[in-house]
Amino acid sequence: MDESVLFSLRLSFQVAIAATVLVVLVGTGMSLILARKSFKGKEILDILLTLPLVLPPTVTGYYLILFMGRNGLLGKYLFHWTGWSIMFTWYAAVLASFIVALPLMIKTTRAAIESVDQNLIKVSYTLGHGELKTFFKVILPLSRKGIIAGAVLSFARAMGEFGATLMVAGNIPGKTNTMPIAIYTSASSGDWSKANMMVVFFTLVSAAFLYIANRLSKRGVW
Amino acid sequence: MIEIRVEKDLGNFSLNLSLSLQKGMTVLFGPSGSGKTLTLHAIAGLVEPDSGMVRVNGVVYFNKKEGVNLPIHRRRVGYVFQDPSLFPHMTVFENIAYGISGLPSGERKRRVNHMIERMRLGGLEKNFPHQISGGQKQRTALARALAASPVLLLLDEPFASLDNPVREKLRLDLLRIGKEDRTPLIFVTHDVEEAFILADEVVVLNNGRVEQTGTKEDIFYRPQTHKVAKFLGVKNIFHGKVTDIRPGEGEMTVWVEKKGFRSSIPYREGAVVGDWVRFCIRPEEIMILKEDRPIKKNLKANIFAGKIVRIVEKGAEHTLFFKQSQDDYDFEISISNLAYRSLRIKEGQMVNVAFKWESIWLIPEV
Repeated sequence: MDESVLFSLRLSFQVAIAATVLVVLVGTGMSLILARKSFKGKEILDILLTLPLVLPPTVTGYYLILFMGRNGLLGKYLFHWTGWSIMFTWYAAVLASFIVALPLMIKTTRAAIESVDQNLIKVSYTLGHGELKTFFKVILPLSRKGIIAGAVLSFARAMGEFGATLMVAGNIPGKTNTMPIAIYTSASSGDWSKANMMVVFFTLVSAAFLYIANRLSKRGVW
Repeated sequence: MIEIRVEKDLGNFSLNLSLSLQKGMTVLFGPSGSGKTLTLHAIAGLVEPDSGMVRVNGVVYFNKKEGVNLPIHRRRVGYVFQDPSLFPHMTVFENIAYGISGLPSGERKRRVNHMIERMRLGGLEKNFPHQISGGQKQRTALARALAASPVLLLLDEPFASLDNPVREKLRLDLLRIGKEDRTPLIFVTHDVEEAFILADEVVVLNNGRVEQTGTKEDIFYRPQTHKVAKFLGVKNIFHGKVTDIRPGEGEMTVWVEKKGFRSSIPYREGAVVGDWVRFCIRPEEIMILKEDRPIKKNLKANIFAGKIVRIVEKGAEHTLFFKQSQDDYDFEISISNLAYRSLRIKEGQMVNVAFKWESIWLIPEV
């Protein structure tokens, strides 16, 4: 198999796994806050976190450039202090996948956390356990299925991420061309045989992953 | 000692009460919506009162003025809900062990096993909540709450959803545990029988206020208000007008117009002719007179002739409904099965009934 195909495949997994790890950590934390706390601006936070789900990925990517670009709101400080910019690195691909997949994680996990019987949480408090311990010993195990489902969805979304990634990470062969981008490149340059191979390969690998994830979540094993 | 003085306004309902409870089993009794659960929540910290204070054994849990509001998990107040609320992902053993902290694992295990034995849960340690019966679940919940060594245990109608025989056994378990552990217990119920069986002390709530506090004998036999009498299902409550007072003999006569009878009742200090009073007589204090026996002197003032209109068998006793007026019935009379058999009473039979004026309770509320 072509070396560049293998690279794209590896990069796609690398980006998707890194993004999923971030999504699970941040998404679970955010879901917990959204599900259990009430504070000013909660609805705005909810909307902001959900927006990437409905915005075209290019718009999300555009925002990321505005924020993280070399002259962006945050990016300019990053560049000023470190001389480094996230743009056009594989980290940018991770960031794009993370932002786009986060709403999926939050939707499923929040619903799972909200469906945990409130009495169980109260009982845990009355048995002397604070919020943190209650989260790890009661809420987390009981919303496990939702979290796994959210992680699987997020991974799938991150694997397939194209638009926002293209905006912030570009299409640099051997550096940021994830599989969806490589497929686009091959197809648009008329390299059909390579495109075909990648599409089939990508489909099989993704299907296999989903199968494993489904089995895991059904068995309820972490 | 548990001291509570709280106010909480919920818009359509407001709680405003002050209680001081000693050790032992206190039953919070009252109709639904009287604020029983809200009171427990205020003690446990599940709800923050608008004002007031909660203090248990000298420790301030809540004090609005001083800005103290101890978080729930630091109050060491056990709480058992009507729903057992066992952690579904943990075994019976793990559930009971959940609240024990700061002990080496051997000691912890020993404590759990001890609770398992006391709550008759032996052999179920490895079962998950969905694999055990309702009664076993509630016993596990009780064991879990007690294993955490609470300074106070709150029980919110914990047996309400169980079958009667199971409920009776659990009540006995609870009484036994209460005696052994000497943990103060506050038990919420709207079941009169349950309140009577369990209580050392009863607090009757109504509409967010304390209606009466006292020993169970105080509450059941000497209700201070008409409402308390009604909530407790006190039978034979009458409303009448004083027609004659005899302070020297400690008696007065009332005319109960609705029922069309005159009765001699205990004299109330300061009562004058024309006052309205409410009084009640317990069903077991009313006697059915046998025709061939002489009538005792202290019964003479309150003898009524009428008909037994209905007889209901209630386990160890029979309830007879006696009627002399136009009303549905006038007195509910309770007699033992033994007495019932020896009297050979039938529905529709004419009888004379009587009671001593001393056994009448005059409800103090004017």
